[in-house]
Amino acid sequence: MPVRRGASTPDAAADLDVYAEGVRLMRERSEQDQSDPIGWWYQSLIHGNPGATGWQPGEPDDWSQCRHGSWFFLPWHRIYLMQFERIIQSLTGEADWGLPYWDYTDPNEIQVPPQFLDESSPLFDPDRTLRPRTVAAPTWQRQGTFAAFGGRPQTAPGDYHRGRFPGDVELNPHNVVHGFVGGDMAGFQSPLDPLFWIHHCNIDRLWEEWLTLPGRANPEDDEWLNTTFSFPDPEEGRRTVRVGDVGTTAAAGYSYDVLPPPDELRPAAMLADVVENPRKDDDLDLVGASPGKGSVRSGAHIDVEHPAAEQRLLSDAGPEEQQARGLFLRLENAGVEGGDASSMWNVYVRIAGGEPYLVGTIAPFGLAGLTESGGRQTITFDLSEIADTVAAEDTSAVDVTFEPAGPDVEGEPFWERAALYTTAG
Amino acid sequence: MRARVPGLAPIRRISTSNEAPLWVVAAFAVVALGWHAGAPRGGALHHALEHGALMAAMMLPLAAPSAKVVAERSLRSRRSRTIVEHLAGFTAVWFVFGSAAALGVYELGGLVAPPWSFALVLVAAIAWQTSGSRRRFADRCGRVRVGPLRGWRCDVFTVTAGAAHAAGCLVTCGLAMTAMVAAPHVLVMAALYVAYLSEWVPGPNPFARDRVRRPVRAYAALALLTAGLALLG
Repeated sequence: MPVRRGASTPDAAADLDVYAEGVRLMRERSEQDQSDPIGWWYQSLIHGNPGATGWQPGEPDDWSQCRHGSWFFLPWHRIYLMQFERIIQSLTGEADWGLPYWDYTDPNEIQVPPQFLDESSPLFDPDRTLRPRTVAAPTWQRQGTFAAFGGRPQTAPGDYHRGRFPGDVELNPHNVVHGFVGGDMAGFQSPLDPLFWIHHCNIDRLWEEWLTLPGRANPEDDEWLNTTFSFPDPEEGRRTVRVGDVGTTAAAGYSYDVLPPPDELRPAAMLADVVENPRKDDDLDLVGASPGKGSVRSGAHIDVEHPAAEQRLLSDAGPEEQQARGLFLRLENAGVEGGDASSMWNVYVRIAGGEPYLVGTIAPFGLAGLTESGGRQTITFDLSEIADTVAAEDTSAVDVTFEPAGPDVEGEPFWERAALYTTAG
Repeated sequence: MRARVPGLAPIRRISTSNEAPLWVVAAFAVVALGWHAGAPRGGALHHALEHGALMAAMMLPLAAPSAKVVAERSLRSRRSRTIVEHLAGFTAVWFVFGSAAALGVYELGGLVAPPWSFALVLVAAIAWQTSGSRRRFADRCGRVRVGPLRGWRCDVFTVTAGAAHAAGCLVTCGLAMTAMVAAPHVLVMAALYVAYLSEWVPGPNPFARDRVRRPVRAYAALALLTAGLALLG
């Protein structure tokens, strides 16, 4: 069974050598025949075509199949990575090889692994921008439901290529890392950059880590469990995998070297918070909204509602519900004009003119394509850290402001409404 | 224990499915239509009730997903009201379109004999339903506008947003609905509706192409059904 190791750990050095050789062989196959399904070029197009808004008639069935902004984000990428791993194993003859992961959640591994910066290595991509960015800390560990963590089902017949309701782990760190690396990684043909695969390997690991936290579970809906995805396979020609069969790494047939991560790498307060206070956003209550449309340049002013009609519905909650209170900011029907995923914006919330709290980062990965086709997305930020402050001051209004996450940010994310929601868990 | 704060304190759940009543009403409408199919023809009131039941049976399932989104994005105390307002705008647009489509089909029947007029509309609908352009429009399907929280502005906005949502649906699904209006038999109409809904069916879906082929298969079955009914007279 393949074991996937942290890319910056000494144990992964041999795995990275195999990875580099596999990438070289895959590129070689594409140079000989661009339509080779297990070549580097074709594999990147399975994720997405940079110039198209989705799969088009006439294109190979495999192209533009990635799933984002919905509950298929995690399982589709898991199967994509499993197939990629099989290709490298097959081409290099290393049957037990495991794809390394880039654990940027670990302060010791946050830098791009040096093998990927060596210009003579197949793991190097000259298009990366790697511009310095200051971004918000992820909040995915707090999410108590798969919908909040990994994305929601679609409510319309449009395809799942660019969905409308991404989960917390997709927004940050997934989108943020795509934006930070830039270049190929900023678009839907991002698998052209070898960093893509170790980045998504880490996202896959975070899914497994999330499942180890108390009360967390995968969806039990037949639609999620019985959906299948099909990929080119180096041994069988084609392999179709059912989502319900790869809901855990054990079921999928591989493991991670460290799971869950050592406690010393996690702040104690966060660990306690995660265990005792999961955020569940499956049944939220709207408590305030901006009066109209806005953008990162205009910011948003949200009036918090305390109407009598709502108070009639209030009930005395037990200690458990009191602890589980969450507060969420949503930018509803959001799109973006200009820029790409590397144009990130930090989101600040200010209560009663006090100090601004950094509550999240907008990294619009894939949002430009969705906007172009008329679609919109809901972007959620977990404000539960400051829920008590909002409540304690009996806040009547919240101001949301945005700052570029770096000196060279372009583009302008916008939305129809900025709204505050609470949950009782 | 933390103090309870109005507006941000836990709220007792009243209902877990805001749009469930729409499915109940639609189911009743289907039953009523089935029961009515064998009843003798009546006057204007009879036809109005029949038309209303048909609208409820066809439109409410289509409106349910957007109604769910609209309800979730409104104050809990206003959710039922919001759904009704959204439906008012949504069905008003479809009612006007349905009337215009019926008139158009009637006029077309004067130019081309009814079986062929239906065939013409059906072919046009299938061509559009399975086209790449139409799939790109479908990206907008889940988009429901959001606006004010309360007051008359909220009421007006919700109705107009429901109408705007329906207007978007007209682009993606108007031709399919026109084919339903032109259907020569209630069984063909029902089959057409099933074919139309086929693209909403979740489940195994390995390729984008299947989102195209599934409706194509459904429409092919529909064409066979229509031909069979025509042969049976």
